[in-house]
Amino acid sequence: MSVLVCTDLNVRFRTDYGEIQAVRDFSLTLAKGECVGVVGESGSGKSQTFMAMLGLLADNGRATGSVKLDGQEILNAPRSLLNTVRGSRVGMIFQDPMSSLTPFLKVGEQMCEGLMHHQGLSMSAARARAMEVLELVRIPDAKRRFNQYPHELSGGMKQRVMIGQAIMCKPAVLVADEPTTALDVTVQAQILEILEGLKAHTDTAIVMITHDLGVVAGICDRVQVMYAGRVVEEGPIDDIFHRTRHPYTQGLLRSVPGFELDPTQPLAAIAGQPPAPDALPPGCAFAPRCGYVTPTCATTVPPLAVRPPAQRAACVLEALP
Amino acid sequence: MLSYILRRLLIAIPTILLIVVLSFLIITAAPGGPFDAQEGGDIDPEIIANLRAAYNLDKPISTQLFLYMKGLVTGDLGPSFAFRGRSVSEIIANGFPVSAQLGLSAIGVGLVIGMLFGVFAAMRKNTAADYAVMSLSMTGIAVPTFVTAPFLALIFGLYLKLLPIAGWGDGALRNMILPVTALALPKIGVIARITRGAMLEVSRANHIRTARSKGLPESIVIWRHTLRAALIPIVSYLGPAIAGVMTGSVIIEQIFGLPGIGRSFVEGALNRDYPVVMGITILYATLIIVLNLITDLIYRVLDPRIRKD
Repeated sequence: MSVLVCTDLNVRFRTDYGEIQAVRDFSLTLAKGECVGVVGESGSGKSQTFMAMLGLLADNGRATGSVKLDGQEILNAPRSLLNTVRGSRVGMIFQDPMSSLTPFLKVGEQMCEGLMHHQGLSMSAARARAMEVLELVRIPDAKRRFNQYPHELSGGMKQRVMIGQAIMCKPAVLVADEPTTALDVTVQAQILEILEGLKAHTDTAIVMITHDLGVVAGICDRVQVMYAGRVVEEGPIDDIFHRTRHPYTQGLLRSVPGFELDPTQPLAAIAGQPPAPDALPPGCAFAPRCGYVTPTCATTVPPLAVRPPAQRAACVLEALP
Repeated sequence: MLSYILRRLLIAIPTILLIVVLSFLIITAAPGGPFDAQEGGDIDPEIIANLRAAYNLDKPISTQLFLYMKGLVTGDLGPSFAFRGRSVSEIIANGFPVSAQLGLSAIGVGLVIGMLFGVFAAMRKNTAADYAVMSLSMTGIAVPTFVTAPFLALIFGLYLKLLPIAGWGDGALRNMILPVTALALPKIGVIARITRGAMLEVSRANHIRTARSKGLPESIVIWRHTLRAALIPIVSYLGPAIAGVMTGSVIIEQIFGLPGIGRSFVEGALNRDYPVVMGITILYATLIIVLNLITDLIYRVLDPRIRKD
């Protein structure tokens, strides 16, 4: 049963230099309890895709397409409808826990206000749920933390509070936008463990937006790889890692350092820079950086085509050498 | 908290002393003296010499300063040179309540209306409503009170005969309306612009995105998550602004014929009435110091991150 179905989502921004398209024809079907990774470099459009779904784009952003949550269209819905979705049926976690909590409100107040608003609960009822959630996100000494201000918490603690705040209303979907990027490695592991726990013990479907394939490998069932605003490859996690069908994904995988790495060899990196969104090449956006480039790549944009058994890739090559 | 306040008040003592010494030196260094007008007239030079001796003006500056400071310690601000028989303390005691009542009312009006305007404009940023409110605010700032005050008196006092043109009437509301309005107009403008700017600045912060992602209604996002952070620049402006407005506005007091200390200060400076000028300067400096302390205490209430000593 799909909770979230997104079809042909396009996101454009009007700027002083003309219109910029940040996301092209993004589609995603998210099943109950599933975890999907959305992977890409900064600027690949992965965050804006989900901001657009929830009506959180900047003022100059416009989204077209369709986003259905439990069959109900929510894309460009009026704010009154979106406010019944956000925080209630879809929870969000952001990249920078340091600045993502309101500095002058107590942690507990911030956790409870959403639940109180959405379900009309009293402070004491919301507080009881918050205590439950704080335990779920493994915050020790919850009673004391509840009455503290964000600056009294460490970065890892704050991100746990963010996760807790996002799941207060037991949402159907949790969108985690680079939840571990700003944290140090040991704390990253703890945050991922909490998210894995959520996946195992609740029905909440998780979207994990990240640039870190290591994060994806640990928790996701499926992956979508984005490049320059488009999905270039998608499929089950094992297929993506072991039967890679797109040169960009291959480049990403090769640039992940591993223990077996030969320290005398330089780390593989994808040559060049991703194109600016207002200056995309006419053909495949990855062509200028691709090792397998063919003459057709410069002129035609390859469609996202099925690669049996369960993958899809946007490349002229059926299989990579 | 208490030790912080005490520390701040202790630091205030040398600050006030420095201000007293500097302003005393500056005012006595200004050309002319309190009895110049009488000199060369038909008054006996001997009488003038006696006058100067009576007020210690024949002594060296250092001695004069010492004698002034000695009086100050006992709370004596000295006699007025220009208004015989009146002490500076009396002048301040009579005029300051008038100026303070006028100034605080104007700031109060400015704060309420200015903030409402600012929040309104920020919520409708870059729309016709926003531009209208902001142009109105700019007009309030740009048109000087010596234009608005007579204009208001002319319309509401002379033509419509709704309100008295001038006079204090022991602080009756009828008498207050016009001067307070004239004084408040530029404050409304400044506060509206500060509020709008601060609201927009804060609304771009990550924590506002979080608040929106929680599905909170816009009213909660604004009044609960945005405005409190936006209050900090407003409070910073208010501290010195209140001190300025409480010590009187010469223009408003002159136009509406009000017995505040703004006039006393300017007349004192023109008459080289050293003690009057010194007295009001010390009052102003003390107000600034106290209000800055209050401002810092309010910061600590608004932002828990500042609370730790």
